[in-house]
Amino acid sequence: MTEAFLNEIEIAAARAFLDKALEAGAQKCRVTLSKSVMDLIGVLDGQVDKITHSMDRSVTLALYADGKFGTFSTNKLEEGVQEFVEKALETVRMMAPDACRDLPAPNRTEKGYGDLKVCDTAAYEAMTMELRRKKALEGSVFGSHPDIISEEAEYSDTLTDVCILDSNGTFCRQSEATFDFANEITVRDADAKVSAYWWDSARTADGLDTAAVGQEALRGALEKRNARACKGGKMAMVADRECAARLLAPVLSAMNGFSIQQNNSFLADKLGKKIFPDFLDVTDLPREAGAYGSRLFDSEGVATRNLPLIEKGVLKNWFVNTYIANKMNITPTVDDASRPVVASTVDKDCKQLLQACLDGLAGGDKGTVVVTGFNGGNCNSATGDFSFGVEGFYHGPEGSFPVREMVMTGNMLELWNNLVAVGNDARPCKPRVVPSLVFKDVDFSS
Amino acid sequence: MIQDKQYYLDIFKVGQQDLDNLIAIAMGRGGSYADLFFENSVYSDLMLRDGKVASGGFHIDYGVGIRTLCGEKTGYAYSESTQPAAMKAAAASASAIGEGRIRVSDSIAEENGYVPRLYKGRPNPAADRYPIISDWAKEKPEQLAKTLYKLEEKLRVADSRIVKIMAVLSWQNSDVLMYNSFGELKYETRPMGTLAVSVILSDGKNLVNSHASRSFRMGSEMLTEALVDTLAKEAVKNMDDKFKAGRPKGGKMPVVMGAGASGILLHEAMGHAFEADFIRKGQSVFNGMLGKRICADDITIVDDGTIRGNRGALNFDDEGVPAQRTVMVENGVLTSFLHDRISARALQTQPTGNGRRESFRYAPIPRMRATYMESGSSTAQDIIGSVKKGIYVDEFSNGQVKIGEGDFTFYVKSGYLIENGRLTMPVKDINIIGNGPRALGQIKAVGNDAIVDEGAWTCGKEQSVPVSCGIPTVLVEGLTVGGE
Repeated sequence: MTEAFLNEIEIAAARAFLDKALEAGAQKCRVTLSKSVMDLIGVLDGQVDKITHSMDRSVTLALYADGKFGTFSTNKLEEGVQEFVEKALETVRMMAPDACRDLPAPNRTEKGYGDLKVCDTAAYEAMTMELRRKKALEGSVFGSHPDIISEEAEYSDTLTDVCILDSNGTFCRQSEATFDFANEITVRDADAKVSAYWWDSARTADGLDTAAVGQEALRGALEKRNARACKGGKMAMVADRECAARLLAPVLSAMNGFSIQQNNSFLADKLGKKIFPDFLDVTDLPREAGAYGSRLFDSEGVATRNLPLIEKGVLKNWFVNTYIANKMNITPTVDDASRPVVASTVDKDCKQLLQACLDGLAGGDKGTVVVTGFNGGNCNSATGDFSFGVEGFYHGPEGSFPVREMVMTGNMLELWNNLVAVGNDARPCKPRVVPSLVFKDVDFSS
Repeated sequence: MIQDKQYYLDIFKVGQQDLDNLIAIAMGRGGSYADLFFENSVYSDLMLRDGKVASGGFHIDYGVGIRTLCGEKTGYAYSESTQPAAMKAAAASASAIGEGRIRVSDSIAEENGYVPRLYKGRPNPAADRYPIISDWAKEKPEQLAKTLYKLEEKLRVADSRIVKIMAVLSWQNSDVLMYNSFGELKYETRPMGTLAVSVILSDGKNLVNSHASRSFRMGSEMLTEALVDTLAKEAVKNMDDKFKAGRPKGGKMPVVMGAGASGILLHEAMGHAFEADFIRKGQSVFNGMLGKRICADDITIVDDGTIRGNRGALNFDDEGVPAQRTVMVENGVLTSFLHDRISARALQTQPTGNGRRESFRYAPIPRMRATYMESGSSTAQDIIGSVKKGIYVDEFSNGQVKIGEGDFTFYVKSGYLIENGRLTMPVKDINIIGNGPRALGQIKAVGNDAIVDEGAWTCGKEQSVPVSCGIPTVLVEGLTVGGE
């Protein structure tokens, strides 16, 4: 197998860290060994501008000694293991005791080297520098339109291999390969310029259509010309499939056990309550073969499983690791979302949903903003209050035109309760499976 | 801190001949320039949570990045081992950019007039901008933890509504050694210490969160009583107002930026668009504007790597070019972009010491250091007093910019409505959006109170690097404010 995979020597080195930690006096220990190899070809204005080859390996130790805890990492696998472990243990023993720190129970952890069909070894090994150059250059559209000022594109393929060992006997491992291409096009816009970005990812190089990515980036840039702000006020919003996951992210973050335990979550007292619309279902589906975001285990080695997050509008679960579970005396789940899927409510994609808005489903008399990208902003994790810069397109009484320099503001719970429909067009290359979303009564400022 | 050359050669287990051999391999397929960046970083942290310092650790990152340039094109690879075979393999990978090319014609060397040799001498400890008085590496964690307990104690006294405190002390020492095909050798140890605290307060009905931090290129001597006092006060500053804060009616309005952290406006709205990789690629909204007036003549904007102990300070950048104070806008005229060696070659000028990287894993690119606007002549009181209806902002978090369009955004954690020249209703959690060149042109008053903020700012353009920012009180005539 390719050098990109963990080899027996590296896995033996990880075991050596574990053994030496226990010999040196740790009662428990977890070792995470990871390796990642990436080759990248950068293209500027139709020519190769950058070639990068990178390989990373590291070992991370979670050490438990005398009721105390610490985490340590190094990328020096072959030398100074004894000294590293001894110094780490010395540091752990200077911490305050914390009885809640523990490894996950053995019956919760994943076992063995699993296969979720996310690593096509043959496809990865077939890649050569020449094929990479070819793939990168095929995605270039520089010169295909007179208004293109600049094009910056990147092809890359990456193989990651991770294994976790702990002193309870856990050994689990997963490998993943991805083939990615991104292109950013800048075009003339009267006496100014405007840019657009598009990307895609596939499990094989053949499955990656770099030319289509270039075309999509160019189309996006040309469509954004002559943008301006429309009048502000409450309007309907379609968050398209490329950016809709940004609106789910604060909700997932608020479901994190650490935020809950620290009183820093707007979902802290909402478990089991109906706080979203009846028709909203969000489920973590981490074991779909070949899918982005699929994983067999979390950062503690805990085996993933399907987990309802929001069911018929009711908040069903938080993300709770072993430590937070012990601290809050609740049942652990996994440390974070793997592949959250927002269930479609209609048989419509973004364009059809937009038409539905214009037909009166949610548009009201002020119009609809189709948001295609967010420009900065934030969400207050304690209250759910948010404010994001947006760009996209306006359709309504003022006409139809691209918009920029606008801000949407609100509260996450209120926003999601104004959800009208969920499309069916989620991009398969994204780990958060969020189709186009339609909301009513969203506050826009301009 | 700058130690003896041999100290660094020993850490990386290399000698002069090894360095020359690697450069020869990196340039072996037609490269016109090559450089090596060795790094040994140890990052440590301690976290106080729920009343005790019960977690922490350290993290070692070691390796060498090898870069080959063919004109403006880059080949890059790195090795996490400094064993000769591993380094040679990385050098060979980097050299691939030159495959099939003929050297000389695209040289960036001195004789082509673009990049003079800048720093042939040894690093000078007497000119060090971050001498380490107390080495982090020699401190015991239980001693350092006392700072966190002290901070917690002061916070508990300062505001009884606090329900959660999380404080983190982190520190890092990075030994770096650089060598290039000009024969320039640089070495130093870069320290960084950061003390940060987040608090959650409750009045029984509502929750409010707040965050404060300080970060310096210093040893543990930065951990003074005064620092702890300052952070404790800042973390609970204006809390009564934060509980009362609401959102204003949104729209376009005058915005008064408070002195200090409002420098994020400069960083996002202008600074990124002055980074010359964007100029080289034709992407910046400021392309073609060099030498032209872009704002009022009382505005001078600087990017400065020379402030001793500052988070953005450098003795030399990650290409071995001496750090400097670069005046980007002088009396309203755009005078310089921020260059690394590649963009300097492309624009036929000298590098400005802005070639920076997150670690040996990344090739350097133009990045800001400490970016600030110099003081003007107005007082903050007069500036606020001149606004009939607008917003005063004094606490920020993340910002972002679209380089091509110049549209920028930043998030306001707290501020006040200005009505008839007075601060009235507290506001929070709003986003402000504008356009860089237009906002520059709309600056109508510059205060006499410039401050470089000492918070733990980190810029995330492709790679994370520590920076700082600053500004005096400034009035911008019309920005879009998010609101109800």
